Amino acid sequence: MRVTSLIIAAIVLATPVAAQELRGPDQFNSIEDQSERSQALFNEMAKVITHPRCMNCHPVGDLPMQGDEMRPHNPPVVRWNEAGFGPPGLHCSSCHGTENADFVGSEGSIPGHQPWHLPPVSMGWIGLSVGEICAQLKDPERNGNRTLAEIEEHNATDGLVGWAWNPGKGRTPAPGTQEVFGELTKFWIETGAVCPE
Amino acid sequence: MIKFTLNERAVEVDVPGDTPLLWVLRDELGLTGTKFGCGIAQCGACTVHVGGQARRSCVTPISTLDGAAVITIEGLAASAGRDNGELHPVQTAWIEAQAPQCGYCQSGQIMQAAALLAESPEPTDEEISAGMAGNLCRCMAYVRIRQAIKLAAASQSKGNKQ
Amino acid sequence: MTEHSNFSMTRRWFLALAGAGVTTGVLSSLAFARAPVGQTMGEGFQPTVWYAIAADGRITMHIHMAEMGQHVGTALSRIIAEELEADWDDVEFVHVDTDPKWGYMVTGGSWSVNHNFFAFSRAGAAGRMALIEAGAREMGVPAEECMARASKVIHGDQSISYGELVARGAVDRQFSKTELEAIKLKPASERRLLNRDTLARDVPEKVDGSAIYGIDRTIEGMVYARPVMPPVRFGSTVKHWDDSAAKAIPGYLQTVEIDDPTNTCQGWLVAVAESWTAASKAVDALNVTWAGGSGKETSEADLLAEGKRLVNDDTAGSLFMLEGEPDAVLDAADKVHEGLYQTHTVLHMQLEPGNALVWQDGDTWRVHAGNQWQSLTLPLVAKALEIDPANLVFETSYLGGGFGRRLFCDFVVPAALTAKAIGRPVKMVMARPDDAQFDCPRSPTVQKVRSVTDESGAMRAYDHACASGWSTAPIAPAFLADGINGGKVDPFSISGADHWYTVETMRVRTAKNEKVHETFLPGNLRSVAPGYTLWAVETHMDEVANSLGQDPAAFRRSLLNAAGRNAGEAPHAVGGAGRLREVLDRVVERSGWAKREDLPEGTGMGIAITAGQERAMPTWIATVAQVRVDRATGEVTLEHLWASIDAGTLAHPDGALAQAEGALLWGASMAIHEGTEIENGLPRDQNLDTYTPMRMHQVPELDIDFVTNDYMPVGLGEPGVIGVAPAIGNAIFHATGARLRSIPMRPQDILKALES
Repeated sequence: MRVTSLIIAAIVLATPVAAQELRGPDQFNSIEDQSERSQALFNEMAKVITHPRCMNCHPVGDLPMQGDEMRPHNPPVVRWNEAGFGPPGLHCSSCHGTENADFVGSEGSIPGHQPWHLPPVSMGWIGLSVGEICAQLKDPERNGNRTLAEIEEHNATDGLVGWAWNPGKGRTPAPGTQEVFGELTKFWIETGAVCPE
Repeated sequence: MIKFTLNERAVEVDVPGDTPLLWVLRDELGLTGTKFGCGIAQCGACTVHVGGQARRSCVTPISTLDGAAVITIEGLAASAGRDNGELHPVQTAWIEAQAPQCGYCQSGQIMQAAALLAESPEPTDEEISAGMAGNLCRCMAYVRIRQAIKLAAASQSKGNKQ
Repeated sequence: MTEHSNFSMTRRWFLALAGAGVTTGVLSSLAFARAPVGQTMGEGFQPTVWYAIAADGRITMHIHMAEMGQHVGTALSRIIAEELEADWDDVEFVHVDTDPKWGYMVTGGSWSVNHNFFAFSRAGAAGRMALIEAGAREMGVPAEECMARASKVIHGDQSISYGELVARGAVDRQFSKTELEAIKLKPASERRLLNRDTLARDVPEKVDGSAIYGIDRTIEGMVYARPVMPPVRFGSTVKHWDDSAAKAIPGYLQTVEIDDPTNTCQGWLVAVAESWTAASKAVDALNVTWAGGSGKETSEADLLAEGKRLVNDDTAGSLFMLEGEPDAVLDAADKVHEGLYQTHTVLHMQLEPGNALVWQDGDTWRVHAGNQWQSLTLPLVAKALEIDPANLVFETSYLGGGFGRRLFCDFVVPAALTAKAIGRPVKMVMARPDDAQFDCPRSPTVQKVRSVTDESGAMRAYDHACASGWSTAPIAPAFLADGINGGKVDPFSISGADHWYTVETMRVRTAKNEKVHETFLPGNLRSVAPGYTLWAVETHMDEVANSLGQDPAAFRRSLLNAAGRNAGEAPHAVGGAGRLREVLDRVVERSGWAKREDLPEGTGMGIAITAGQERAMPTWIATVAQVRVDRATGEVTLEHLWASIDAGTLAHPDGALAQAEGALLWGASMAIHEGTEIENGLPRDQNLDTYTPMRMHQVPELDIDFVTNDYMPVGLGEPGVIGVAPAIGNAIFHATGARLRSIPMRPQDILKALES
């Protein structure tokens, strides 16, 4: 579990995010024990899941985070309700457009995608261990009532998930590619979707 | 060439697609009521309505607006069916509360408040705090901005009941 | 005997009127291509320069103060209209240009109403007198039997309107300076407008998008510009630049290297384009190398360390005030109360970034830019353009926030030089980070206060040393005053330390922190020196009260004796410290101070009393803050602010209340929400993502109470700011026992103070 704890430590210390490799599922074939292989695959997926590009919008409370340093989102917007599109009048789309947009006059960009919103509070990840996130992902009560196949599809094809690899100027992309992330998810499920401890 | 409606009139602009709407409004179309404050969607001074929703024009590339309906402070009253010179109820409330100090942020505050009231006609204090969290007032006229939103809500609800 | 640095801000500014040789000229029609604030000067009967009465009865006031949120035109017009006995519905006003006839032009220091009160009142009275004389003549009755009301001269049941008198050409009396000064104002009992409310006249334009700010003006043939900021404020020179990448940007025209005779811009380039976005992108695409740069490694800690050295060195700086021999008391005392207080760098972040439109109109150069101190900026820009100041005119416009940033309008210089270099009208707009880098921030400060009390709590000695940047020194050195022991002092950087408490011996020393001046240009920021000197005074007083086991409000009250130097003087400070005692009593009553021990755990109340902006114009305010402190996170929630305010007569009471609301929240924002630090010679936070003024959801309950009286009006824009930070700090102490001596008070600072 060394890798996991290092990742969490990196987040806690809010150090700049270093570009990371994401190994494909074939890199894990040498692990003979299927349960161990499944856990290792999830730990690899966790490099994506615990990356600021994903974590920032999976808060356990009502406030999203932003930036590679995972600071509280400013302006101080709130989830408002389960739909997660923000309070009346001030939806996420008041600022986040259909595509990333470079700032004019300042460095960086504002991320965009259609739609842009927070997942339900049950899918909050910030502060959870990798094992806890994994358990949550598998739990239909807390994953938006998704089957494992739907989780795979979500990870492999969802546009907002895919934004993590195309986050615009001033943000480090999630490691690897969405394709590899989808494959990792697929093999994790095929190996029994076992959660790391 | 991007075509959209601005304050209910068709416009066409020929500018680079990544030009923010803010600068198209101000420098190409001469509507200077929409203000530049931060350029990074932090202050809300540039708020307009796109498709009836509040939108920060400083981070809205013009290329994303093909066919859109844009309303600015100059067209807010007319967009609510007010005749020439008559104000939108939110603007009237702003005067009644004497909300503006320097006034620079107020176009954005008013556009944001109008969007809030359109969705929540009688907003709670919590809704006002949350809905207005993206609009800075450096004069700190917040007390009166809140008061004006409540006045507007009251006058609208009175109007609806009549 | 009290020695006070020989300085009266009021007197000095008025003396400066005499030397105001600035410009001539009337606004050309070109200048109104898109109307700035004022349309035209009034026509008709003009007993003084301050207003005109037209034949149709319209009365147009000429406002030479800048409108930046105070509704100053409304307030000043009320003063004239009061003595003129004008019908308020007949009154209009225009904001004027920089014609020398308006005298010295500066809008700051919360002075506008106070400094113009007598001149404007007498101007109004002069008109009334002339109109009554004329009306009496026209009606064939004795003038003594006539009175004026609601724009009419009345005799029994006959009357004639002001407009009619002007239409008949019946009135043309002009008043000399001596005649004006001899005018006796009507008694307060006869007032019909002052202390009575009205709507601010500038508000409608500010809700429909039609108000024209500096950034909104356009002119035929103009181009847009954005500056390339040098690495630090001072000492940079451009070694090399290359715009080959910028040339690919559609609309990019050229880049101008600024050669500035005033040395305001050190190492600047300005990119020029057909649109601001193109100019902005060109700035990003330029490849520039600089040499030099002063203070490139300087940090906030370096500036504070130097400040600490200066306050601990008795020989540094000069004395602003001395009463008795404090050393004799301090040296002999068994116990000396001592505290070291500091404040961090604060940015203006006025919402309209620095900008200016500059163009040449025949022989005249014209500037359109929001401006608080035309009489300072105009000569600077003339020097930059190397023209006679008589050939330079500043238009006026609304200001998208002043807060002191637009006192020294240095940002006009690069716009003017670019316009000159390319021979076209130039509108230069700074991006927000440009504005933040080129801000004139409030200097970080370090203050040491030592005091001695006797057993009863009477104060035997008070010794205050302050080290800061001196905002006046670089921009207006003529306004420095002589120190008591030689040398110079900047009154604007120490005012407030000369408080209104009774003390037996007292000394105030101010030292200029040169390291600040090597790094940036320290400026004036809303509440100026009292914004930090009273942080020290009022935190210290609280510490003394607590160390004596006395209630902080009662302790303060015991030191407000309104005797000697604190007796006050007419007309501006009648009653002296007694009026401070009255607002203290009122706020104690209103806030429920007596029950503060019943507040829930972790909740506390703190008090501060202040008399900003200066002893020559004291606005008496007592402020109470109630805070809740989360001991686990250090988070402070400001729940409630009470303020009792005596500002004398209120020219526009609702405007006064609005200024008080904004000022209190400014004080709270600087205390717990905003503030920055210098890193590598620049402000660390350069946009509103990390520089975080108070937002809507952080606003506490406000309870503001004005004392009603007829004393001379004082200031309102700034004084409300001053007491809030110490009231909050003192409330945190009451809530937790943790003493904060530095602002801003951030959660990590509170956690640290809780530990110790």
